[in-house]
This record gives sequence, C-alpha cells and structure tokens, in this order.
Amino acid sequence: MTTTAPSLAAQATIPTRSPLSIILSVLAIAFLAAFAIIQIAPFILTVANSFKCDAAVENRPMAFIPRLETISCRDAEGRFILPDQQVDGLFFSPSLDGYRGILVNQLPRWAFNTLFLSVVVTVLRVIFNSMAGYALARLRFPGKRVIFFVVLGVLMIPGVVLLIPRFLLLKELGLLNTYHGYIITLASDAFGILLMKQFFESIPGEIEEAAMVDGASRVVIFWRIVLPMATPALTALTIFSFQGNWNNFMDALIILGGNTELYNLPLGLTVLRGSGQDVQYDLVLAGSVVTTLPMALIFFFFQRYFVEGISYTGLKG
Amino acid sequence: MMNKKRLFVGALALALSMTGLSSAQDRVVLRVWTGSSSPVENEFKEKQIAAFEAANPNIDVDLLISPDYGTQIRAAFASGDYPEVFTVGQFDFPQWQADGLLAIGTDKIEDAEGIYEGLRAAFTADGELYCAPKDFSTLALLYNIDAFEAAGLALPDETWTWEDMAAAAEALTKDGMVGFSAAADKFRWMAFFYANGAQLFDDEGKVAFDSPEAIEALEFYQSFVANGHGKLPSDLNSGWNGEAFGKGAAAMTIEGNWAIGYLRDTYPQLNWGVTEIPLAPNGGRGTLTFTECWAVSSRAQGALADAAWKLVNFLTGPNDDGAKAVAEAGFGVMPARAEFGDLWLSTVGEEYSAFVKGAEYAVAPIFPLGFADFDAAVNEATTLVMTLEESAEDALREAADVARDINGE
Amino acid sequence: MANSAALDLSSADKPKRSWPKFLQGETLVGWSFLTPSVIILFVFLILPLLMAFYFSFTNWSGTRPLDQPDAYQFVGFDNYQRWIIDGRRTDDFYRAVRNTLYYVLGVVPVQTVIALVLAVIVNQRWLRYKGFFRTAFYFPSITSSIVVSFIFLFLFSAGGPINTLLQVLNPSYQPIAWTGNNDGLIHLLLGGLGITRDTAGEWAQARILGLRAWDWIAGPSVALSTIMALAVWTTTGTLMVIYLSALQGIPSSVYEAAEVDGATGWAQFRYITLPLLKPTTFFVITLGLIGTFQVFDQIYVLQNDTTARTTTSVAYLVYTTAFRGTSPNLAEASAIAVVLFVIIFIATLLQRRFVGGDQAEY
Repeated sequence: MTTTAPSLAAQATIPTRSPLSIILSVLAIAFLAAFAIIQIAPFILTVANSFKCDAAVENRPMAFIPRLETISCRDAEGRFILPDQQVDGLFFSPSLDGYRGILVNQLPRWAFNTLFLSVVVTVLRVIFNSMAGYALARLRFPGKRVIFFVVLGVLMIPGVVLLIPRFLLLKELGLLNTYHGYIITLASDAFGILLMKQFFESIPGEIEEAAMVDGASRVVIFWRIVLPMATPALTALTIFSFQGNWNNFMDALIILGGNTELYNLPLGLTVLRGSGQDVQYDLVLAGSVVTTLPMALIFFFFQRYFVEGISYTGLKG
Repeated sequence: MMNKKRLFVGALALALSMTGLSSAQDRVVLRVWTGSSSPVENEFKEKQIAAFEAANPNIDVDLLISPDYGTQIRAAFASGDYPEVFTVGQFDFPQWQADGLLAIGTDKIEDAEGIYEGLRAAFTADGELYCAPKDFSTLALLYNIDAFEAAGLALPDETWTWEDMAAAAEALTKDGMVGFSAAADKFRWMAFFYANGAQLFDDEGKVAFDSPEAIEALEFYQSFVANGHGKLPSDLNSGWNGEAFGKGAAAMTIEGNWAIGYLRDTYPQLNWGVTEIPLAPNGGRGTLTFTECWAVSSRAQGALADAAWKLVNFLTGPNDDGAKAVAEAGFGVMPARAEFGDLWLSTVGEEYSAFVKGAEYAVAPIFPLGFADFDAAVNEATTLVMTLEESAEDALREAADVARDINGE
Repeated sequence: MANSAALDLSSADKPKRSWPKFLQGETLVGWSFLTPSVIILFVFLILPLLMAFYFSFTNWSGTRPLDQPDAYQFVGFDNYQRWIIDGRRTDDFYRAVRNTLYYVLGVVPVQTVIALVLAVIVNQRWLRYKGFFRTAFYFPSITSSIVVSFIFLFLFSAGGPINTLLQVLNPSYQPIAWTGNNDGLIHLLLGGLGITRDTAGEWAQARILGLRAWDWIAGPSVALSTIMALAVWTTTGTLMVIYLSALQGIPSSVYEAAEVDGATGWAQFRYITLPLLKPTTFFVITLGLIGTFQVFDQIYVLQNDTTARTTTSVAYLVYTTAFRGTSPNLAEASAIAVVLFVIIFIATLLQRRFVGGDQAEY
C-alpha cells in the first residue's frame, strides 16, 4: 500500500489517458472509497447509537439502520425496555432519550462558552503562533536557538504533573474562573509555533529576498507576503486549535471548573453523563454527536483552503 | 461570577457578625463540592440541598458537582482555599485526614451510633470520627437463576460454603458459560481473605498478609481460573464482572449493589439472584464495603462551621431528607444507617437483602497511610496469581515482604 | 531537471546563505514577534514545570495545603531513588518504560507512512470529491474515543470479526481475547521457535534495570498491540493534515518542470515530493515521538486490570501515582515525570541526529 497507492495515483495524472490508466484510476477510487467508509463507519455508528437506549448501546452496538417510528427507553411502568425490543438485526427504533438527557437549561450557555472560547483562542493562536514561528524560522537574532529548544521542550512535559502547579499559579494571578484566564493561558502553544516554523522553513525564500531588495521591512513582508502564502498552514493550525479547544477538558477543568456558568461542553456533558459504572452511554453518545458534528463541518469548510499547487511566481515583485 | 459575589457577601456577613452588627438576617454561604455519579443521583443531591436551603433560609449553599472531582478538589486543597463541605471516599480518607484537611466530627455528628460500625471505622483516626458516612455498598454473590435451574442445582443460600461454590462452578461450566467470573482485583478476593480470618497485621502490629489463612483464600479464588471453572472478565469479552455476568458468560460472580441498577437497565431479561458470600471452611463470614462520607473543612470556623455541620447532619442524619431519603430513592447505594436497611429493601426489592446483611460484618479494605508501595504490590500479586503466572503463596509472600520493609520489620 | 529543481529550493531555504546583509535589525523584530508566545509559555508551562521539578525533591502529597507550615519536607533524591534507581518501585517504572518504548517504535513509523500516503492521495489533481475524502480520512481524529473503544473491543473480542476472519483463513487457529492478552509478540515468536524463558539460557535471567532481560525483549503484548493499532487509526488524520498543508507549499512550477523533463508518477514522488517534504517528515516524526512517549488517553480508555502490566505507559504511571490508589503522591509523580521528560529529550536529540540528517538549522 505504501508504494503502490501514490504511484497509481500519480500515473493517473499522465495527460494522455490509456485504457490501463483509466482502469487503474477506477481501482484507486474504489480503494479510496472503501478506505473512507472504514474511517467514517465509527462515526456513523456513534450517531446511530446516540439514538439507542443505554442497554442497546452496550449490547447491540452494530445496528445502524433506523426504523421510522421512535420509541421511549422506558415502558409504561417505568422499566427499561430490553435491547431486543429496540434492535432487530441491523435495524433499530430510534429513541430521543439521550438527547433529552443532555438538553438541560445550561446547555445553550455551555455551547456559547465553547464556541466563544474556541474562536477567541484560535484567532490569538493564529496570530501569535505564526509570529513566533516566523521569527524562529527566518529571522536571525541572539537567543533564538535557546528559545527553539524551550518551545520544543514545552511539548515534552507530561501534562498531568502540571495540573496542580498551574492551578496554584492561576490562583495567584487571579485568573481562576474567568474567561480571560482561559484565553490568556491558551493564547499560544508550542505545537502551533513549531507547526508554523516548519512550514515557513519549507517555502522558498526568494520572494522575501526580492521584497527586501525593494526596501520592504520585515514586518511588512510578514503581513503582506508571508502570511498570505501560509494559507495552508494557517488552515491546519485553525483546524487543530479549534478542535483542541472545542474538546478541551483538562484546561477548562483547572481554569473554569469552579463555576458551572463558565463550563464548556466537555465539562458540562461529563457531569451530565455520570461516572464509573453509572455512565449513561446514550448521554455520552448524544453529547459526542453534539460536539463532533460541528467539528466535522468546520473541517469540511476549512479544508477547501488546501488548494493544490499555489503559484509563488505571481507574488513576486 | 456567582461564586465571587456570593463569597463576597459571605465574607461581608462574617465581618459584620464579628463587629457585632449581625442580625437575624445574616446569611452564610457554604461551598459544597462532590463528584458526579449517575444522573439520578446527581439530581438527588440537588434536591437534598434545595430541601436544606428551604429549611434554613439564612444559609445559602453553593453546590458544585464536579466533572472530575479528584483533580479539582486536590487542586483546591493544595491552594488552601477549599469548600466548607465535601465528600471523602474511604481510600482518600487516611491521606486527607493526615493532611489536616478535615474537621473532627466526634461531637458534631448527631446520632453517630445509628451508623454501621464498619462504616464509622473507615472514617475514624486516633479514636476520632471525622465525617459522616452518607451511603455504602457491600459485595455479595450474584448467581444466574436460569443457569442453576438448567444444571439441576439448588439455588445458593446463606448456608453455602466454599466447597458448595466450587462444586457448583464445575457443574455450571458448559455450553459457552463458565461457573464464575473472577476479576483480577484485590477488592474481590479479599472478601474471602477476611472471611477466612486473615488480617493485614497481627495483634502485635506485624505484617500478616501471607498467613496460611490468606494463602488459602487466594488459592480458593484462583482455583476457579486454574481448573477452568471460572475466567477473568477480560477473557469473557467483558470490561468487568457485571458485564460478563449480565451477558450470561458466567453463572456466578462477586459484585456490589451498584450492579443492581446496571443489570436491571442493561440486561433486563437476566434472571438473577443474590446471596451472601459463602462461608469459609472455618465458618467465618466476610465481605468488603465501600463508602463515602460528607466532611467539613478544618478551616471552617464559627458560624460557617456550625452551618457546615448542620448541613452534614441534614444530609446524613435519620431525618426525612437524609439517610431516609437515600433509602427511599433506591438507587445503587444503601443508606449508612441500619434502621433504614429495610426501607431500602422495600424500595429496591427484598431479594437483595444479602447486600444489607453484609453490612454487619463487612470490612472497609483500607491500607494504612504510607503503604502505597504495598498497595501496588498487592495489585501485582493479584494479577500474577489470576493469570496463573505465580502461586498464591509466592505472590503473597512477595507483597508481604514489601509491607514488612515499609513497616520496618 | 527534477533533481536540480529540488536542490535549488532546499538551498534557498538556508538563511545564512540567502541574506547575510539583513542581519542587523532583526533582533528587535525577532524578539517582539516572540514575546507574546514566550510570556505565555513561560508563565503557564515552564513555571509550573519548574514547580513540579522542585516538588520532585520533596515529600509533598499534593493535597496538604501549601500555606501550612509543615506542608512538605525536602527528601533529596528519595523519590528518584525509589522509582528509578533501586527502590521498591523500579520494576513498575522500567516495565512502563519498556511498554512505552515498544509503543513508540511501533506507532511512529506506521502512522507517519500512512499519513504521508493519505495526504499525497487526497492532494492529487485528478481526484474528485477531494473535500469528501479529506474529511473522511480526518474523521477518526474527531470521533468519540469511547465509541471507538467499544468498537475496538467488539472487533477484537474472542467471537468477534477479527477472530472469525482468522479462523476462516486458518482453521487451526484458536481464538484469543486480544484485548486481555499479556503475551509479548517477540515471546510468542520465540515460543514458536521453541525458545522459552527456561530454555533461553543464562542471559535471559540477568536483571537489567529492574527487569529480567527476558522481560525486556518481550515485545509489545497482544493487548498493547491492539491499543497501538487504535492509536495509529486515530492519529493519522491529524498528521495527514500537516502533510497536506506542506504539499501546498510545493510550487506547481516544480512539477511542471519535471513533467517537461519526462519525470512522472513514482519518479516525481520519489525525487521531488519526498525530498521537499523532508522538513515536514522530520516535524511529524518529532511530534510523533513526543506524543507517543506521553501516551495516556488510549491506555486510559482500553486498559483493564489484567493487562495493566503490559500496557501501562510511563505517562499513565505518572497519572496513577499522582491521583489514584492509597496515598497518591504528587512529589513521586513529579519525579517520574521529570525522568520521562529527560527520556523524551534524549530521544528527540537522537532523532535529530540520526533521522534529521543535514537539517542542521531545525
């Protein structure tokens, strides 16, 4: 697979198409489609299972074709129904109980918090990470090497031991249980800096050189020339940052954990679904769909900025 | 935002009362933290708190049900600024007590004698009772009625012995079912350990973990796996005993009363019963108990401390909204007060009486402070024995040697 | 020429040859670009790290309030002694090190190769519905880990699809419970050759760093291998996106020039794409190393009591030491974390030396 797939794919780009290359590209597409289904299937099952009752999630996870009528997870006497009353082979009767379970008064507030914090942090990260990444990739100044190793080193810290020290620091700084505490803490990250750094290193330097010859300053070059060229990397950064914050449990717990008004969806949904052997899987999955679906849409929206083969020549001069 | 405002008001109220300007209108704000359990139980706690606030108009309760209680409360402890009232699990108690986080409750907890002795023991240090147990669980023997009847066996009852259990497991192992699901968990086999009269330490305080009684108990637990009449839940495609038992992959298992709700909800068609853990060869009984208490912060002073104990007594006392409400709610856990055992049974069903009976002789399996390495060694020993890599005797001796080393023997 | 185009570009990459004249004045810009990030990283990550380092030389439980006068005492290297040197927990620590090493060595190469292949495929000009395929391949990164673990447990269960498939392929195959199996793959292989711990000879009994040599060479257990497969499945999407963004950075003119020269298909990939992606590959491997050395989530979700010995990673050990069991201890957890940090740092330096090749600047 390692070697054949790219060569199959690449052969198909030959301008004059032979019958063989057409067959090969059809095979390649079929292979891709099959692979795509494997990748998506668990999410389809997540959605399907989110409409099942707790018992059926654990016992009949593979049924994924909904019937038309919806049912309740409890019968007239308030007892839970049997998994087989809901599932028959690959078919199941959907229930909305899981979604009802997470539909509490505070849900809109939590959703707003999640969206607000994710957007603000992502915007700040895009700016701060690309500035730092550019400095580390292109500029020459004393202390750069040390900073690079510090940034790399930050990634190597096992986060678990930092939880309590961070809490103590944030408390000293008066940042606990505030939006700005969360935003400031996460406004830049080592991964994003390194991502931008390696991207800036991989693009040709001639364009910047030319601009310099024309007398443009470094700051102008960065904003006017380099950042627009970095669209693919900024897209990747946006996706990662948004996803990371959308699903952020631990930072949110440490910083916002004291006030349920400020909870994001991961915190709020965790309280709702229960813990240990008391976990309500229908609630888990309904929550998971609520949090995953926007991520999928955002990815689909942003991935269009991965446009193949940007032409740098047009930017010259 | 709410928190800060309330805190401020609380502090102001405190300041006013100290300067002698207090009036009957003064409000006290209690911060109360606990972890999230089942959705039903979370709702129950909220209702309890609401009832308390209604009964005590001058006390405001700021309840926080944490998504990750262990992490959150530890961070708060470290900072020195932690809630006035919070829950403490039995395994955390020795450390938290030693760290000076808990106020002594001996004179504050009302009608403490009504609480099972085994539960009080779990939260007692240096002769002082620190906090009030709110509810608890015990282990018992779960059996699949259909499997017993199909095999033509009489259903187990409280007269069962280890021998009876072993014989039944053999007879039940057929048609894709094994007799017994045996988790490699020290908090299962140690029920047999205590039943057989074994102890962690002997009367002189010396480590007795590898006594002949202890070895016999673990050998018995291992024997199911060794002779093929039992399997680990992971070998039955299950995450835990309850799942293996619910699926019908094992005809018997040892689990706690938390399994009632799980089996009812997840495997409603399962026809099962429960009885006490079988009698040891010496006729001894044993089971383990797991419990949690409501504690008051050692830093709460004056009016705040009074309000905090008032709340704790309200939540755990014999009143309508305390232990009695736990019994009437009828979810997994049992009320910590013996007088409501029958009420709990009438809510969940008389057939579960074995769990309540166990409370009379149950032991809370807590290792002393400083024995973390021993704890790890016992886990290791349990795994090695249950995967048949080591004999019970060798494994227990190795673990006991760790304890002796810590104990300075 | 395809080769020369690639060479030109990579040499243009090296700043010291490109613009020696513009060195002055960049100090101010450089530091002002870095300042916001450096402040944030310093205050919220490096300071806590230094605190954890400090606590690793104390006996602080992690719960005793720090404003108490007797919150902790200094114990020197006791915590390190106990876990790393020759104390009571060294076997737990080195077993976790072994598990982690097998995990890293198994996951990093596989996820890197698959991510590259996926990125190249979804970047092809001829491919239609690119958006769909890209999103599809990214899906494992955003799917609920709980559902994924359910499905994995089902797939690998004794009566599950994987065992059924293996039985069809090989009727003599005895189904095993994959996720509950502690047998090491190398041990199984040696066992197939008739070599066991008792017949392997003297060396197998030798104790090295808390474990017998025989246990060091066990290989990843069957249970750990299933967790590794799951990890690969969930992380390739993220790495694919990094590769994808890097592929955009390759000017189309390079390929056009190559096509004029008659380089197509495999030749283009081998001689243009791959060399130009070298910084990215290096980055992806570095990230992979750091990420897998810290593996925690997957273990947390899929481990059970029985497989703890062969699946516990060092990062998971840090977590259990800090927050689980009787007497959890933050000071000891910090000591383990510090050692893990050092291990990762050394591994990254080695990787830079041996995999990085002449990427001297990075």
